[in-house]
Amino acid sequence: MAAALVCVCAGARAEGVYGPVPLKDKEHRLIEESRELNGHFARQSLLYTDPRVVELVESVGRSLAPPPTDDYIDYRFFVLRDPSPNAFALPNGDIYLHTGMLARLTDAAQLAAILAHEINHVAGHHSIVNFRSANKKIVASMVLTGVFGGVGSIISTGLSASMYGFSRELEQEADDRAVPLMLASPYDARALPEIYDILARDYEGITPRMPTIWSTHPQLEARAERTREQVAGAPSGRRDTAEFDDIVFPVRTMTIRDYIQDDYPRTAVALAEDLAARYPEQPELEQLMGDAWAAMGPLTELDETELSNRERMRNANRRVARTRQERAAQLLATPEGQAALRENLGRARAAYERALVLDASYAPAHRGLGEVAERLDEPRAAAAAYVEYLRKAPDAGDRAVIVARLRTLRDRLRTEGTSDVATTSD
Amino acid sequence: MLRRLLTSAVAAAAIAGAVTANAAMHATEEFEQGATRPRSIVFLPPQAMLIKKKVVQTEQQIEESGELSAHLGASVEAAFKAQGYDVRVLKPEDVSADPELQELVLDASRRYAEMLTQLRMRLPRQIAKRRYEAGDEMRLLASKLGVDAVGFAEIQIFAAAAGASAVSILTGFGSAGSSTLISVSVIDGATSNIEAFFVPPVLRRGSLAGYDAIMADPAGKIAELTEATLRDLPQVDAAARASSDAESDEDVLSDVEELLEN
Repeated sequence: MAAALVCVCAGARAEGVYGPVPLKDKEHRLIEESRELNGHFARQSLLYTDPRVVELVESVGRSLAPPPTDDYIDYRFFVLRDPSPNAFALPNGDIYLHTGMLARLTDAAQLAAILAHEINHVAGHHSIVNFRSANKKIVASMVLTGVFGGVGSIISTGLSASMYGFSRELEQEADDRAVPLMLASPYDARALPEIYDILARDYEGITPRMPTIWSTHPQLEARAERTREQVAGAPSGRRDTAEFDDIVFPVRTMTIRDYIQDDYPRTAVALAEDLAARYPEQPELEQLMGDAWAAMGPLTELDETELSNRERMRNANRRVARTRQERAAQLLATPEGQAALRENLGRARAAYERALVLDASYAPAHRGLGEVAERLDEPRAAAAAYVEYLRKAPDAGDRAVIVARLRTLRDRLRTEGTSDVATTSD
Repeated sequence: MLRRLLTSAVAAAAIAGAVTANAAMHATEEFEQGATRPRSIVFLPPQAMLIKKKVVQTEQQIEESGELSAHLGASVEAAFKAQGYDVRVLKPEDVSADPELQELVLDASRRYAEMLTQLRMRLPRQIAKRRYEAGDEMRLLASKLGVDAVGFAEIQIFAAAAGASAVSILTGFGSAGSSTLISVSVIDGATSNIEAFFVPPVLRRGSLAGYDAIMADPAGKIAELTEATLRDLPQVDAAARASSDAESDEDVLSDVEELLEN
């Protein structure tokens, strides 16, 4: 028994192999599944295909990748439509970067830093090493199909380890080997610790949305500290900030919308504020700001650095145990929640009005103003804003939803004869 | 320690049994009475999940799950048609062919996944209290598809290790170490609530078919499972939703404009 325990522990301390690694029988299947996974993601519409973004990620990745040591490895780089900040590498050399990760980066050097880490997982055959260790145990495997799997659409077997994290030692190894890879590249190696700083931000005050290699192994703060020391004397390198910003802009706005839809409003506000500060006077960004503040509802702003682990866990559990509506109702039962709602909706309204000042014909701002007014129980202002929206955007995709709201508001106006002050900017 | 394990297992089985032993359908009162029962429904591409005991199987798991999804879609379509519904099951290629639909499906699917997590964590009977709401994403999708409701169907097959038999019996999740579970949801395009959720009664789960039996006759077994799951699906209510289309959007806008002028 004692010997068996030692054996398991020893297995967990596996090291990568950076020379050729001939595959054993079942491992060929691992490579096949890695290839199939790409087709699966494509069929489920999960591959992000904006050519400029794809070209950027590919070009940075290819500039870092070493020559493959085995015929089953071919470095390829993809962007996956998923707002969670994550990236993963498969044993055949396919490396996936989530849109949510890309959206949080500030320049090409940070992109290179992440890809360098992932490339080391491939170059070190970490999936194969992990698989040989895990294969001794009974491990559940799964296959999901269908559109709603997202990146939860794990393709079976040992690949789950590739996607959901290696051992602490292999993660450390990938971190450490990323340093010389970055130093040999034209990119600024000091970007390495920055990615851990970015990912350590927990805007919502919860544990990560899902366990990812970037959030669990080992602690991000420790990884940042270690790599900061490793690159302390590195010369400055390329950042390509302006070009990166220009190319990644649509990914950033899409990700903010995803966070709003997925009920991560504090994250959405933080990312939207950052973007609006860098791109002032764009009605689309003011609209996003408005939507993010409106999504905050009765939530108060948060200084996540003051939260204990217990509080983070409690917040995370609450997200599972209670629906969005229940959580909002609970907060609205308190004076603080009511005040926060008024304040957040006020900020949203101000953002929508700024959008209309920038572009009076910008229809979505009227929809936003209608939603704010409806939530503040101002049916007249809400109805006026919704009508304005549909008059300016008669072919809006959400026309049916807005008309349904107008039916309800019409009934209220007829029966209550309300006379709230319309607050749209027209 | 053993006593604690047994107590936990029996408690889990009792809770599971209490929830679903007598019903395959969990629905809102309005759905049962017909008011929110759809006349038309589109199912998104069904999802299949295999959970196997070993790290590597020689079978083509992706092809397997794709095949299972297709059989599930066909069975669900047949079951709803048999009760008079105007039903269609989307294929992945239908979704990817239309970028706008693709975005709406991704958005609605994420909302459904969030809802399903809560549904499984809490008692399904809470559906009657309308605790679960999928937001405008589902309304927009239903509107785009031009249907009353959006449907989701899923099959999970657990091909467990032989030694797991005792555990599966204790926990009520199957027999002979292998079990299968189908779930079907109906989300209303207007309320955005989950109006009905179908699962086979707990005592029949796993007794219907394990992994080997299903793979021997996937079409037949999945049809059998779907039939058991949807056995309480009521007939379409032709009178429901009949009056909602009488007024045009323009009528509503004009009415509201007139009210605002006064």
